[in-house]
Amino acid sequence: MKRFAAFVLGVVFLSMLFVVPAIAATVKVTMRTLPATAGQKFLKKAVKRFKKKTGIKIKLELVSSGVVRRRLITAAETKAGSDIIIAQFNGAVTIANALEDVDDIVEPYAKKYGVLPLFKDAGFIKGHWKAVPFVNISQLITYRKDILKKIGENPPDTWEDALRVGKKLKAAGLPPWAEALGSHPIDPSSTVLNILWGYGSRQVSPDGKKITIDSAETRAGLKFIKKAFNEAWPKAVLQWTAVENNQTFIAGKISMTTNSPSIAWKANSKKKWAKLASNTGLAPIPRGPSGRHSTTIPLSWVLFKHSKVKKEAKEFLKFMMEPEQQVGYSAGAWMAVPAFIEMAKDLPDAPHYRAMAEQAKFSHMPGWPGPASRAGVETHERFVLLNMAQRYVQGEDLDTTIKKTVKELRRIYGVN
Amino acid sequence: MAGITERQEVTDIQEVVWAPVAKKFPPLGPIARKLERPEILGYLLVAPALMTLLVFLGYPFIQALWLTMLDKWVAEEGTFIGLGNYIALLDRSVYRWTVINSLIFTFFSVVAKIILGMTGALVLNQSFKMKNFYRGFVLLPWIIPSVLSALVWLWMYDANFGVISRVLLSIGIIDENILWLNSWGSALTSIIIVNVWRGTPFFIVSLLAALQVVPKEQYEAAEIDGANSWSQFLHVTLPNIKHVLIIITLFGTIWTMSDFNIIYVLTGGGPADSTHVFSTLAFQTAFRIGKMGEGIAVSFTMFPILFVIIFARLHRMRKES
Amino acid sequence: MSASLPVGSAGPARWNITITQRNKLHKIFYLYVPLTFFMCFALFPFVWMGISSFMPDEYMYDADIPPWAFDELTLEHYVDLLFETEFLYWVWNSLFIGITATAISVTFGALAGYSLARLRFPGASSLGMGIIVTYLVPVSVLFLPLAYVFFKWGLGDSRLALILAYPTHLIPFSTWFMLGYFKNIPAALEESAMIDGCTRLQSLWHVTLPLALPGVLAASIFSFTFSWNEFIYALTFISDDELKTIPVGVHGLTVVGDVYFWGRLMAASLMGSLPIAIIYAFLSEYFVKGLSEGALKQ
Repeated sequence: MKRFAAFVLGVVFLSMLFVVPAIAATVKVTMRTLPATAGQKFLKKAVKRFKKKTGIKIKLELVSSGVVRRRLITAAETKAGSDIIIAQFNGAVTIANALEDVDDIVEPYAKKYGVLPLFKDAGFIKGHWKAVPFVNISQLITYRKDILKKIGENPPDTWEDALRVGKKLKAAGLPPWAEALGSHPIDPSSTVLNILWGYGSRQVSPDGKKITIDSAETRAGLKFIKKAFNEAWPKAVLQWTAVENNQTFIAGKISMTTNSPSIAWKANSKKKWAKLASNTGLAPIPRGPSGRHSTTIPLSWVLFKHSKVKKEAKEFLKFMMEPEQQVGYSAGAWMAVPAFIEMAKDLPDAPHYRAMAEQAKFSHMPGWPGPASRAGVETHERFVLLNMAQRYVQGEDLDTTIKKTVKELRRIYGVN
Repeated sequence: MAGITERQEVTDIQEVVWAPVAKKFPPLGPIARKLERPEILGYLLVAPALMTLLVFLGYPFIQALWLTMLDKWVAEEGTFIGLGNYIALLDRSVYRWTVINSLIFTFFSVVAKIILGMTGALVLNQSFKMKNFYRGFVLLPWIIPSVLSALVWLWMYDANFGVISRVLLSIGIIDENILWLNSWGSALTSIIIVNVWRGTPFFIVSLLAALQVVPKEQYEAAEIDGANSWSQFLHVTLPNIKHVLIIITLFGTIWTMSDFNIIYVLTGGGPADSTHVFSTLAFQTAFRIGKMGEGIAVSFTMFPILFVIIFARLHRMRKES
Repeated sequence: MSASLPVGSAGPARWNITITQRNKLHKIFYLYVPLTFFMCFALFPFVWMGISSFMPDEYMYDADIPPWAFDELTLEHYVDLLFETEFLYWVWNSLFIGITATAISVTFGALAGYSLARLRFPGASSLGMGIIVTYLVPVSVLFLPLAYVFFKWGLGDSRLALILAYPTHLIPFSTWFMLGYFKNIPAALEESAMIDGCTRLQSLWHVTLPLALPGVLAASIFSFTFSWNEFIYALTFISDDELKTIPVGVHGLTVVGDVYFWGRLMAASLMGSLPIAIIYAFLSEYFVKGLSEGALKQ
């Protein structure tokens, strides 16, 4: 009796080891979550509609943004896992070798509706579309309308304006202007890149062959960052990654920060923050002497070469590019705009959509103005420019810090 | 005297354990008899363990060694570059800093653990009510998953709502929140605190066990000679527990230097790559940048350091015994 | 008997207090004060973990009020955790992987340990040394090589990968531990059994193993604890949310969108620690034994 029980248990255990994944013709899709749950809900419903329409089953997996990059790399390396994964920024570039060409599905839409240039930087690699544009999450200035009114200011148009506002807030003992400066590829990188680009700093020449970071413009941008840090921002920002500016703004502890509209969304999401929501405004990223430039978070789908259901997967991608999905997801996610320019006019009429659509025109990928390349992505993932600003802010000599950065960039780009 | 006791013990257990089973055995068949030979049986019994290690550890290790000699990005075949990765690493300031940082981190953590461990063991070695109860609780930080406890510490270190700052603020000791993870110095200190918090119980329990077998006569003899507590500690306690102390320091050093969980959770290597240790840098290089060959090379550079530590220690121990 | 801090009763009285008062002072200074310190230091994070897991968001994220000033408790974090995340999957995975890996490791390790302890065959001591030295190589050095090979073998994103990976660290430990344990069991017992006609294997099964059960138990507890707590292999090998173990799953809960969910995280940390704490509460003797014997044996 005991033997029989052991045998059964053994069989059960062993069979669990080898649980076979679901039946064929299921497309595995991995997508990141956004704070607005309505976006996730829309996706789940869309998947159901797709199944009804085409009979193709989609297994949708939702992960947090911090995990996306690792998933992309692991899937590319193991040639297994999901068929379609969402790529952030220009993450597709690093793994381009593992991705299926998708010119046949992107070109028609791009021709008909026009696609935002930044998506080309993100997904058009070595002459082919390797990533299907989906939506864009623009970075904007989030600010407290009531507090700025108190000091008699409008949302800043230039970085110098922003600094003036910041100094006034600090002097008046009001919640300050704060920009994240910790080690994280999203908000803190934005801070540094927005300012550096605005002041004319360019890390590499457009052909990717010359390192051009060592310039008067870079110095000006860095000096501005240090000035802002010393005269306006709280010292804590060096520890801020991507959530602290959200937390402090909602808690009423800061008045102005660069962020994707997640803060504004959160304020609008709960009744207890209704007052805060009505006082929260969104404005474009300030411009510097060299114009208005900003980072942004484009989301594009990538299809892996190792996928066994490529035909079905492409059907799904075509489906996700349709105006209904582009606009519907953007509306649900609240803080996204479609990748295809013409589709934006179908968005609900709200100021933040207009601001995001507008801001997208000035947005670039990390590594700009260099070509879409692994080197550009690597500078982003290694926080090269962000580290430069952090070191300078914490007291390192300006020339030394730029020299270190030049060395690092030269190594990454493999040039002199 | 020892002989007699042993034989008696053997007979007792024998009667208890052996009696019920004494009758059951049929004569051996040819295969079984072959198996009885120590040479065959010995290998046979070691085989499962050995095979597992060879296939799932030995082979990957060799493969990885090969990989470190390739310039390999994710999703592509690598190109052979010999020791290129290693040479390039030595030239990278991030890597050099990682080595220095690992050494600093390990040194201060282990020293703190030795001191706190010794103190804790001495304290718990006294007799008092509910001693076992306390001894049980002191081990808790060590047995809980380190990722989960690191998350608790991350929450306690939060720049806005961290409880330590909040308590000190409420009492009035400080004016503004402590920024634990802001810069290299404070971040490293914060990491060391968590590592020490987590690792000290191991030291305490091991040293406590060692303390308990120190012969009491030696203390009494020292006391008669007029030695005070500190002197007794130096001349009686320490020599007797030296063996254990060295072993757990060895383990502690290896475990601390290879720590991944705590640093990954608290800082991920930041700010500005300043708190990287070998394992976190390897992870970042492989899974965020996508350079597999270089990532594995970072891990492998730990081996020389490990070997030096292990063999230095073992060599000294063998010399002393 | 406080062997390490003797109360010097032979010394001269330095103050005008009685011996009992002096003993009491000693006790306070050398025992209660440090003991309190150690207990607070060790346990405070757990206390805060527990409190936070029941604290409503309004109190948790209000930096203006002291952390003890809350007057309502909530179960929403636990409910959230259990029903809106895959936490229960993770518990099952941790259990399944932990038990299986432990079973494999302790079995193989015990067999190997027995062989090395009792049987003479060529290469035994170097094999033994080799297996044990492997234990000293830290897991976080080997995770990338293992990842690479496991990925190539198609084991990426599977529990099998962990079940095969954990023994590479646990077998050396179990072998070492059981080796020491078997050495402490007199060989004479098995020999008299074999004189009576049974084979070595039979004597192992009927005589030695029952006696070695405490050691097996200690090794099993240690191994299970390692599996339960292990992070880096699990993080590297498994991406699918439903296949994750507790440490990886909970860590993945850290940031969703742009925000932390601390209440949920603390609830998860508490629940993820509970099984080990319970095992330990009942079997602490074996645990400590395993710990100190692992350290004290060479």
